[in-house]
Amino acid sequence: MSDDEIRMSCKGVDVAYWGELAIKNVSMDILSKKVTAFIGPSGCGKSTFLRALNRMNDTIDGCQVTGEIKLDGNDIYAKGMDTVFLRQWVGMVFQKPNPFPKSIYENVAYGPRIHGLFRTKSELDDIVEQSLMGAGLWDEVKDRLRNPGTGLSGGQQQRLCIARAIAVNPEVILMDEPASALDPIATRKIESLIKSLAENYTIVIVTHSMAQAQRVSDKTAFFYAASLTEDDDSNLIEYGDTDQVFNNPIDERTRQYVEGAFG
Amino acid sequence: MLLLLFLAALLLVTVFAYFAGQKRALSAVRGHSVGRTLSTNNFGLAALPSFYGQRLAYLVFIPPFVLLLVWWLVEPRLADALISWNLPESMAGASKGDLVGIISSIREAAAGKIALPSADYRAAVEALQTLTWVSTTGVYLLLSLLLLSLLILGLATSRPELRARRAVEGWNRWVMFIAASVAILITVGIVMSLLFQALSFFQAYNWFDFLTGTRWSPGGAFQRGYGEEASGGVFGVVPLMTGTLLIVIIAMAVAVPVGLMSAIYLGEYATNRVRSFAKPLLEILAGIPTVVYGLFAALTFTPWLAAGVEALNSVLNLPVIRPAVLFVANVFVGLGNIFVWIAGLLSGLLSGSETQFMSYFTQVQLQTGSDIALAAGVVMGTMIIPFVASLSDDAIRAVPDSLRDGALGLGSTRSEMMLRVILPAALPGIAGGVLLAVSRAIGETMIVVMAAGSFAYLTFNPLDSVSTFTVQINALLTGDLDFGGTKVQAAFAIGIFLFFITLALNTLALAIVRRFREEYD
Amino acid sequence: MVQIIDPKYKDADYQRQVTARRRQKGKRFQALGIAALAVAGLMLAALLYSIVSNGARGLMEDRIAVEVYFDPAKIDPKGTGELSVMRKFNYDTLVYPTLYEALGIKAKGRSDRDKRRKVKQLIGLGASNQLREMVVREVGRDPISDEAILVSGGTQLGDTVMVELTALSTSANPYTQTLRDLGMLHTRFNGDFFTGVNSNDPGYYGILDALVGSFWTLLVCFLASFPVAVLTAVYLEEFAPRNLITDFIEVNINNLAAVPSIVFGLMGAFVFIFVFGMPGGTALVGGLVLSLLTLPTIIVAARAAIRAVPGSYREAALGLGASRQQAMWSFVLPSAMPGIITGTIIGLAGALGETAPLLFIGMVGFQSGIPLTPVDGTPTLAVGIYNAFGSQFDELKNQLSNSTIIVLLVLLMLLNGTAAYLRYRSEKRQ
Repeated sequence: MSDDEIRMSCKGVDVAYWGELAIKNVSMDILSKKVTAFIGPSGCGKSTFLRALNRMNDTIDGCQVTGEIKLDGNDIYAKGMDTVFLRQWVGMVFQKPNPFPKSIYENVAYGPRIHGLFRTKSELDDIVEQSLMGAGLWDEVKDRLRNPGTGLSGGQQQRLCIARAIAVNPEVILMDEPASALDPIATRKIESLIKSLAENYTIVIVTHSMAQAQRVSDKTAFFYAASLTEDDDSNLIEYGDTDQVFNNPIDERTRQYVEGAFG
Repeated sequence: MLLLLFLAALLLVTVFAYFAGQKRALSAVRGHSVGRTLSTNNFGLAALPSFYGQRLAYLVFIPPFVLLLVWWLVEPRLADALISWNLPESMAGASKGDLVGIISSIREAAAGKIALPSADYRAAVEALQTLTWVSTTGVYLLLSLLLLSLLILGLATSRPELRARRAVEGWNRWVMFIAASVAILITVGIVMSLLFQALSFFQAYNWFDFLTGTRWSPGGAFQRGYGEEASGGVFGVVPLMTGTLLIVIIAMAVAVPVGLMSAIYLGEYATNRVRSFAKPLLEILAGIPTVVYGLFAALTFTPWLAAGVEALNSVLNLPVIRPAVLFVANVFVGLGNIFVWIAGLLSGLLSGSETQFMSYFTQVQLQTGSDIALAAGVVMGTMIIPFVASLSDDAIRAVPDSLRDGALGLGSTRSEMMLRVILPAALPGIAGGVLLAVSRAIGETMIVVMAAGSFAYLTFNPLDSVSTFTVQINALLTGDLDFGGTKVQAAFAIGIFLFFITLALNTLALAIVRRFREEYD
Repeated sequence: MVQIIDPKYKDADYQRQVTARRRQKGKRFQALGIAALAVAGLMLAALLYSIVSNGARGLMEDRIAVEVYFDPAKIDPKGTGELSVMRKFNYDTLVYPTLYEALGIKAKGRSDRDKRRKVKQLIGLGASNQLREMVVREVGRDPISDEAILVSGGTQLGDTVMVELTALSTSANPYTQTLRDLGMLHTRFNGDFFTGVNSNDPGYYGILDALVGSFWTLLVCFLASFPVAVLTAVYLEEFAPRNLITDFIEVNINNLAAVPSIVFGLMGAFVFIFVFGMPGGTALVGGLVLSLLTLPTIIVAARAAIRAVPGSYREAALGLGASRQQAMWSFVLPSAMPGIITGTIIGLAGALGETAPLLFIGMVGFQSGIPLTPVDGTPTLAVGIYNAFGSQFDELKNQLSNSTIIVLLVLLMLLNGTAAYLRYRSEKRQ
């Protein structure tokens, strides 16, 4: 793995809500242009940790992040770091598709507009087209770009959200259970999309489905909540190549979880 | 007097019946130690003893009470009918005015206040005296008899196997239903009373002239420059519409930006410390009675504003600036005046009467009179700020958090999220709220009664004095209420106009808000 | 790698500039919010300032202490000794000579005419009455001849008595300071304001009748609206079948909440006074009209409170064999009562401040004694403010009206404070 470039590195990250730990002492490196999957039972803090990676937790009252998270060597919790600035580099796709109540075109153009990423209308048109192509949605919507984004099907909406995220050309895309609200066919489309996106972007995905993690990810991290109160020094139990985590786990709890003993 | 006595007796017997019913049911099963079965309880009764009491109380109270109410409603009509039946043949051709006099003298004769005016009226007077005896004594005797027989009947039927709970709960449901129907009754009462008077008004006054007339002068023709007969008033509501519109526009120009921005700031940016004094601030504004705002507008704010305009006038007393400012003001007011002008043109064309259009184009000068539309409008806007703020807050809160996350996740600043995502999404809800606020402003009374003018000038100049619907209702109804007079009827005509405008606005607003809610549920 | 956007836009320096500009815009937007709050705050401050500064002056009154000689030659020049003659005299003229003398103004002649007028402005309308009553009082009217029955007020003609009179418009009068220096004018707490009744004379104006009238009005309003509202709420929440009639009732309640209050006044004047012949200007009619306004408020609050009672409790009661109505009356309604009462108090507070619906039922301009029953004519506090506003005397129009507002606002604060406390307590208990 020596040729892998480290995009984000975390050291001793704690996340607490009103003083209560949700994430304890997590350290990991997220590799460039790879898909990293976070798995674990509900309430283990995997989504919380994901949101810590682009400071989405800042919007939640009483949430406190300590430790060190670096993007390309820059501490994202450093004093001078602007979240607006950061989120251009680290984009996010959410569990429930959340297109804005605007047209498909305006949804994708939103990011470039606010960040000032174009000069002329044709530049913007290009960005929208390429983003929609990147999200595999272009052929389906190219004739109705002015229709509302909320009129699309669930799977299309989620791909629109992905297109919206890549329109600002981030380095890292965080995905919080992006397929959990979708039917199996739409889920498959999203999964193959994630794989193709990994050619250009670093992707971190939280998922409930172990099969999904196996299908799409290169690296897998297993989180476990019970260890917050136990003696473990971290609730990141195991982190390694997906192959290894699923087929040859080191920790007993990981083995039980991937074998479906609890969840 | 007898009424009060009877009511007291009715209540007393009802309370007695409650206890007697319980006792009676229990005494019927005394000694019957049957225990519990599927159809009886521990007492050996089909229901708890208190239900037998409640049943009996209902039974003795309701029929006499309802009959009393009916009698109270019927009696005056009956008196009129009796008199007209018993009038002598010779009166058939009497004029309406004469009849009123005769009827009142018959009434007074029957009451013993005056001697019998003529033998012809003996029959009517005697019939009326019989009715009086019936309504003062006979009715109460009959009702008391009914009360007693109901009590006896009820006691006799209080058998242990009687399903008293079912009966009582059935009646309870009826009482509840009647209570709920009061809302319908009130609406019907409003519409009927407004319609009744308004229709009489429109018999005397052309409804078309009412809706399109550009002159409102209920007192007759002493308004400047018009030489009409001094008797009947002139009731054209166009100046009231423009006046109301002007004040509502001013009020909204204050309330919507201030209310909306306050809601956004408090919901999105304010620290808890700011919120802890800003929220009560809005609550106090919302809790102050309108008469207080009215007094403030009339006695404090209007003089302040007049002084401000005066000061502006002296500051602007420079060769170039003054015409420039006046020009801008005239352009703005002129835009509004175009509306006034179209209204005048339409009404002139439609009603065929001559209308002097040019008189509407009054040049704006920086001068104020004793009443300033701007002052009433600004104070009304202040009153509505909390209303708009709370409705905007509701609308903003109804936008799902996932949209906020989406916007922030793409790297929006909070103001970009607000302006480009949340506000557009909340716009229908906010629009509905603003419509509700407009409807409230149109119906608002005290501020304009106290601070706006009573003369209905047709103008869009905010420094002038204008009048509104509610001001004129008050003006028309001040003094003795003569429900047969045109002035009072005109007030009810405006009232029904007002009722339907606000009803339409509210229905529209609620429909918008409901559709907006459904979109995100 | 697919480059979706031109790399120059992702240049860190360029982006830092863009971000800085966006942050600046955000700050400006935020400043607008602060400005909006500031506008609201400023208006409230202006309003309160106006109320307190004017109202406080109304709570104080200036009094002139002056020796009055009840000159027989003026009051009863013919010496008849008849009370009806003495009654006709303009008693305030007795005050002026003493004041002219104290102030060094000539009692006759053109030169001091303006000065004399200024002095006269100090003495209110009520002074003449007050002095007359010292000499002769009317205790009633003869039922047959309708003539006044007069008795002696105790003061004999020829007496010289020290009298205190209310002084008007003192702040604008040039002689106020001089009289104060002479010890003839002093300022004291305006006790009449709390013990007197509605009057067009600022010197004697009080709000006791309006306070009692407001009490009666709210009582009638409560009795008329509370039972109906609670029964309606119970019916709609628990027992109403889902059908057209129920829908129609709900639509009607929603609409009632939006009807302009002046329309209720029109309807009240027509239905209660004209059709039913109820006595105008009374708390009875006022309370009934206001109950139309409070009804929807209480219904909405009561429905919310009933809905807030957990369904599981209700099911437990039903499971024990209670009927739905038994569960309602014995358990659900008592649990919802704090919420219902809170809503009722808020509704009544609104009714206390309402004026528009009371304009046409005969309360405006009404003058009478303290209402002993709900069927006596009376203003309410809010109508009292409007009445005072209609006065031609600055003290009444500007100051005493604002003093009345202070009393009204204190009462509103008490009512709303009680409601807030009840809500806080019931929230804490849960």
